[in-house]
Amino acid sequence: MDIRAQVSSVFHLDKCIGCHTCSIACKNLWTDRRGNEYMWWNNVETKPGTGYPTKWEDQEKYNGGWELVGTQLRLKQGGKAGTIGKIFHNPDLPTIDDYYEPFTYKYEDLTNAPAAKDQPTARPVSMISGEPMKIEAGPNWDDDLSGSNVYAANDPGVIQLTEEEQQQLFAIEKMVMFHLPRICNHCMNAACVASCPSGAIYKRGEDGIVLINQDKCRGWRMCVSACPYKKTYYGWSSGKSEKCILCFPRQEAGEAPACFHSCVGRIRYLGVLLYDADKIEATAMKSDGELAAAQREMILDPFDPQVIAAAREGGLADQVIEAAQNSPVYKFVKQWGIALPLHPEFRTLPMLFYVPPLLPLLSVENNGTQKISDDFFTTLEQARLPLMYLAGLFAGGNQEEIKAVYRRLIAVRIQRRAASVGDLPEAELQNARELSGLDDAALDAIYRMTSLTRIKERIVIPPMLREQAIEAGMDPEEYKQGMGFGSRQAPKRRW
Amino acid sequence: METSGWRAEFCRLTLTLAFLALILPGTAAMAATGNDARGEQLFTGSRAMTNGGSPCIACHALAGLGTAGRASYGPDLSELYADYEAEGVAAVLESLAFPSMEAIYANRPLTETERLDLTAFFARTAETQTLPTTSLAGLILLGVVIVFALVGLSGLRRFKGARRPLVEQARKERGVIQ
Repeated sequence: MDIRAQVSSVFHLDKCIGCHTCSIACKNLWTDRRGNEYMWWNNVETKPGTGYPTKWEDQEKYNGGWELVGTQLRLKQGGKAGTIGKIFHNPDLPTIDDYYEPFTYKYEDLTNAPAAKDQPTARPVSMISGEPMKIEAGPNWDDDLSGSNVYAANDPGVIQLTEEEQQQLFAIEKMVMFHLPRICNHCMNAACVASCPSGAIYKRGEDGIVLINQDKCRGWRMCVSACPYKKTYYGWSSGKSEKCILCFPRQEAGEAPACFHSCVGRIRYLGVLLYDADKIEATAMKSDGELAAAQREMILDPFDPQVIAAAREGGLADQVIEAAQNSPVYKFVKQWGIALPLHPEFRTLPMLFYVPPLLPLLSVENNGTQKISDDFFTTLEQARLPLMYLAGLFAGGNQEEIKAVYRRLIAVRIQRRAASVGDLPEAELQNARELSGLDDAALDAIYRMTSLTRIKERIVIPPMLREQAIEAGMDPEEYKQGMGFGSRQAPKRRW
Repeated sequence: METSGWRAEFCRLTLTLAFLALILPGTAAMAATGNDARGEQLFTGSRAMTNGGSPCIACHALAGLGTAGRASYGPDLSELYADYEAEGVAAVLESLAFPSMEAIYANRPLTETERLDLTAFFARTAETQTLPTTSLAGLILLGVVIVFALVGLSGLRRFKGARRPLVEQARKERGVIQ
């Protein structure tokens, strides 16, 4: 056993209201620079929809992530030889139009325009060329279904559904959408790390945060195409690629990452997971439908004495193990089993988990009460989203995973209804509880964690122990004096 | 005997006349004619000039010598004989009084034979020459254009984009204006 610690997250999609506060917090903090205008390390997209960049999930187009070739895991965009062959003309990159052409408005015209009959207007101008432009796309252009017959209809997850399921999804009275906030998944088996010809990308040993060394990056952009989530971006001004850093400087100071901290819906949970690094390869080679379960299997119980002993042996500090025991992510993913990875079939073992949205159920009127536990799982009629759609997003097509999560979420709702309104028969509650496989205490804990917790319970930042990590590599005194502000070495190639 | 003698005489006369008819038109030139084959060797440098002068091909172009005969430092000599005739050519070759040539040939003049040989060579090429239709620079340019066009064509649809085709498809199918 090779036990590692990973700072992981859970996003509870039923709570996301799609306000983009996270995106703006991140933008203001990290990517509000020239050449980075189009990047959103954190973006929120509307589902069904093609997302940002357009159709990022379609790996037939972008060739991101891993594929299983016989008994070997291989980058879908090609191995080392393939990478070198394509190094000057990587054909799998998204174009700026697939992200969107960043724009601003000529606000100064509002105050500087000469007096005239008409109101002055602020025309949109491109942030790339500075020329006036027609805005045709944005980082969430299909927000709340705008442009849906272009974007929602072409969602790769929708296209794979049957005709009947598609009709169900877009039926006028049942039409539904939800928001999917996305940041870097800080994968266990990161494709960006494997693809980098310069060896500039690394997964930080002590917390699993995936970073791009700006001194080593040569701007080949192989990571941009290799990341199936399209979460590395090329900075046009710096000539380097950049990505979400999970606000490690904030975390090192004990603060939550900016997008977590600013989240209005409090949908974001953060905590340490312990996992067995020896199992990464075997896990990533499971079949599509087994991947979500196999990844859950890799995550270890921080209360297990054997795990604790092995973790100590591997050099994990007691404070980190303690943080793992308090981790809300461990509860969501492992104890309650209601959080799933996004697109596990890309085989990067993403360490950001999502509670799939149950959405408000369509009630069948029954003298004012809703009987949802009886027939919900036997017919798909009442599920707002086709289970296959969610299975395509969160379980590599395995509907059983989604059903298991839904049973538990339903049980929580029924239990709360019984507790707060008291109009449900005990039998229905009992039935839901049995279907979910969770006891009353667990259902109550889910309810509390979902709705009542304070920030310190939702976001459990482990002690980052930088001093220990630094000591392993160099003298701390030298580090303190030697590490200045900004780049440590002059870049070899200037733009 | 008589008859055969007359016949033999007639034959001899005809042959002589035929020979004269053949050579007479060239007689005027023949007086000052050198060996055109040797002239070609002198021009192209495969035979050295007696006094060490540089071969003409180093600076001059001449049609009929392929891409090697396309030097452009001095003027193109393809039209030389047609313009100046034998006498003019001989006079030029004798003095070579051009600033850029003087430096080379002042101390290394062409000999009488060499001048005649070269004149003969020019005379020959004046008859057979065709004007050059392509230049080396043109050929290289054409090659470069073709290579770039091929590379461009192969990379034309490299970045198809994902969003624009979706919008265009929707517009085509449903007349959607987004």
